[in-house]
Amino acid sequence: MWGWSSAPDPARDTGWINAPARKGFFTDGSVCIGCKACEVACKEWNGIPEDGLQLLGMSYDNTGGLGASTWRHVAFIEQPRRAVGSDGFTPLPMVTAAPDQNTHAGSAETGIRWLMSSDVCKHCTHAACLDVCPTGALLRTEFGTVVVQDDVCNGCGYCIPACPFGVIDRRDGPPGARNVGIAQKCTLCYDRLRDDMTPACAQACPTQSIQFGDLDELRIRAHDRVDSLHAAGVTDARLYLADPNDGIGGAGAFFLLLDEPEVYGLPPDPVVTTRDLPAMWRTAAIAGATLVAGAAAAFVWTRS
Amino acid sequence: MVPLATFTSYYGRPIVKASPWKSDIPAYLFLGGLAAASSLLAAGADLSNRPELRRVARIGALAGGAAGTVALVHDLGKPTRFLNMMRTAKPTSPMSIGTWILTTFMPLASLAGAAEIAALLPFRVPIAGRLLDLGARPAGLLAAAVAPGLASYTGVLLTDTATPGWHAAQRELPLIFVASAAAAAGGLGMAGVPVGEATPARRMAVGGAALALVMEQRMEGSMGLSAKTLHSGKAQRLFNASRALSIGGAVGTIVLGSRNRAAAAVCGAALFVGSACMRFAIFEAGQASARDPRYTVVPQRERLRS
Amino acid sequence: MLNSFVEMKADGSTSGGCWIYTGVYTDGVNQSARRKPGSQQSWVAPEWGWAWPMNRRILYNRASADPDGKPWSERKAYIWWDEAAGKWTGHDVPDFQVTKAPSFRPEPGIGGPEGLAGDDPFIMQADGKGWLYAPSGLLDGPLPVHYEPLESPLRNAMHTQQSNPTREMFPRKENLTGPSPPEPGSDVYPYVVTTYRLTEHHTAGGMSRWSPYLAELQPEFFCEVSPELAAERGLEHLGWATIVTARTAIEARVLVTDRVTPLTVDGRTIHQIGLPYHWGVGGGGSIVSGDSANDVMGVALDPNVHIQDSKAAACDIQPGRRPTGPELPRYVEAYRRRAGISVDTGTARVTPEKDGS
Repeated sequence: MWGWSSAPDPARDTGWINAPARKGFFTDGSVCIGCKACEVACKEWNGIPEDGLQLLGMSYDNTGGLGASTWRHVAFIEQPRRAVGSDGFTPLPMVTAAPDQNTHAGSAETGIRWLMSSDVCKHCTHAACLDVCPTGALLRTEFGTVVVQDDVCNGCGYCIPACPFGVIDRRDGPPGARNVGIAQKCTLCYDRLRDDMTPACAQACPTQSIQFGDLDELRIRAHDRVDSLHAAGVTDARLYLADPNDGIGGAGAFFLLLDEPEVYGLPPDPVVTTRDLPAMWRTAAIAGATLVAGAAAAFVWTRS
Repeated sequence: MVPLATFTSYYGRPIVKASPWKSDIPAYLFLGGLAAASSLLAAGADLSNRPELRRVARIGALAGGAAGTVALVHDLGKPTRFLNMMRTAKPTSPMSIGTWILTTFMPLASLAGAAEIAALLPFRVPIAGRLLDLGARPAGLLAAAVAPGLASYTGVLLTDTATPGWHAAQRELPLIFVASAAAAAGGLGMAGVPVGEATPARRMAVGGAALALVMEQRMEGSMGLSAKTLHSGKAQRLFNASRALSIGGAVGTIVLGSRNRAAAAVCGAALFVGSACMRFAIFEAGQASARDPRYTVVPQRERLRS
Repeated sequence: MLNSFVEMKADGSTSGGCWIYTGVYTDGVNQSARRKPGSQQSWVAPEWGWAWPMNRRILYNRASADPDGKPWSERKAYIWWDEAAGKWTGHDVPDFQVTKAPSFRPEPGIGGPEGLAGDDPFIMQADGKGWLYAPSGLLDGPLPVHYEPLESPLRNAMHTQQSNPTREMFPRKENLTGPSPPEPGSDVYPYVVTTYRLTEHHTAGGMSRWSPYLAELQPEFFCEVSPELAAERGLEHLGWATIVTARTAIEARVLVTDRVTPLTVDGRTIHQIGLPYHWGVGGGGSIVSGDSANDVMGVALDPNVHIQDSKAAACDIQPGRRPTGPELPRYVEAYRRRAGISVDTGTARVTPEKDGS
């Protein structure tokens, strides 16, 4: 079982010796243009099957969310006709030419801004999916990431409700596809990492909205980015899952968002479920003892 | 707690994913609990020399455990790989712990149950029959020793998830599950054993049903907003049926259980089915709480504000 | 790799592909892959990616300075003449002969680039000037003028002539034109329809609709309408709509979005309908299909470069799917009858002086 520490190093805590620096993603939603190149590059590299041809009517998002066959998902949020500058609504500065002349993507006529951000597995420091996996199919890699071993998973599905972000899922088709019946999610391109390559999504991202690198360095970069956005007047820019003291011990893949997390389909205050597990086992022990006591009581002072 | 008047989500889509489990899992929650409490009842009957109650309870433990195991394996995405559960033992995984509990329990309960079945056969099984007779008591007692774990870990199995309705019920669910297990096993004993020998079964059934009802009430308080999922849709129908059957069965048992064999059987059946309904109700409520982002977002927002 | 196309030699000792891209591998470095943050360089960000030709970000940028070579405005200073160094300099790569002073005047009679003065920024023009008056080269010059599209719900607000009189037309029954003011009947097709591309597909979808990873990102043909138009016509989000022009009718799923806004022109509300044009029917093995936006657009060409106007047409939109089989031409024909359309209508080049409406 893991313990909480102020600077967790998941790879070394798991027993990796000579582990490289922890790797991760910093996804900067303020520069995402919604091209979905990350989604396509991910599927191409990882050989993931097509998983749905429905028009969802969620702006230009016809992907819907992460799942067994979607490891990157670009959210599209149209925020319509609120007064520009009203609470929580900053039109995005497109050019910071001279400090005095910001132009805005949110048109003054329509008062619309179009938020986009690419979601991915968070590779939590305290990963519920990994904790609850009964077979050991989910493992912590030397890069500090969380990966499913396709040949070990038996499809019990426990990781699915355990994930506080709804990331991992069991692949249910199409028939004949690889790994049907087992849990699937982003591997942070484990195979590419071992060859010192950048994950496919970050490689494909044309605006560096998806940045890959050493987690420590990404966090510094992200804080700098937030500071410069705040200085530029984008006051609602905020980091999500960059804090090692949050409910999952900080994420390997964290985000810069321009609105509340739930607007993007992310939980506002995720907590790894296994943080409460010692208390749950104590409750179970009390329950078991109650059952024994009850059963014994059922037999005392009875005639046979 | 006053729920937020409004909350935002991404087009109303779920944040956490509902478990992919079908009815196999709530069925197992019930059957595993039935098997566990039955083995305790069987052990008590064995030690207090109630052969009829012992027989029914041991067979109940065997049948419940076997059917539950089949349900568990059937639910896997790759049933052929069910043995991968044996690769490791992880205290952070209630499913891993539960697998080892069940793996310990099943051979013991099977041996005790098989001895009872062998005794019912019109002929004597040579050698094996003798071994069964010798092994039945220690096996049955050892099964009973493992049984509290089997009956209670399933509560942790559900609460150790991000499913809002289950996780929020963590202080009550294991107690509800053992109580419900007792009600089911007691109900089975009442239905299968003459009233004279079924006193412990009646006590177990009524005590279990009463404790379950009390804890369910407390659970609704703990669940907060997600308690709403117990009062709509499929979960509501199951939950209402469970409470009606449990209350009716318990009252009927107290009034008629020791007098009339038929009435005892009906009451036992009601408690048995009521226990099953409760497992399905809690399962369905949790699934519903995962499918609606409200139950994920609102409590987390409240937590951030406090 | 050459650093610039000016290094190209006519003697065969160098080789190059498309000349404008010469220099994208200057010094053996993939210049277009550069991603230096804007905060670490000038606001023109010359080290973010690369632009052809020669990483120049604005063509004719000599025009950002006045005839004497000084920026028109200090705030907008872009390139300027550095007298001390005797060359053009600034935030961008000058699009001018670098050492040609603003005061330079060529000898009379010299042609080509050498014949341009130091205050002639438009170096690709024979006289180095920007032309408002174009005495040669255009079939519809010499002065710029506004015309309405061939199909428009509005009368030309600038002058009598409604649409380009020099347009190339192909009047035939498959390519009819809806009426525009001052002709009567334009209210039968009261809305404006336009076409555009989506990132996820390539042109008419001939490649991308066959690719599962692209097809699943934009799986169905849709039309985008404002909430106001949706209310006016009873269109439901994700429901079906039929879009009909003088040519034919097509069907599309409805996306109601605030991104599409009604225009207010001359006191009237003009609704726009957006159609991505990546779908079509038929084609063995395509993963997704749908009606083609091109079917509702007409063909009329501009006389200079012969490009058709596929960005604006007049249409009607109705909830529900379009008729099929022989019902479809009957449905389209009913609209045409109400609008009074024939092969001969919409073909007049010169709009009558007196409004008929």
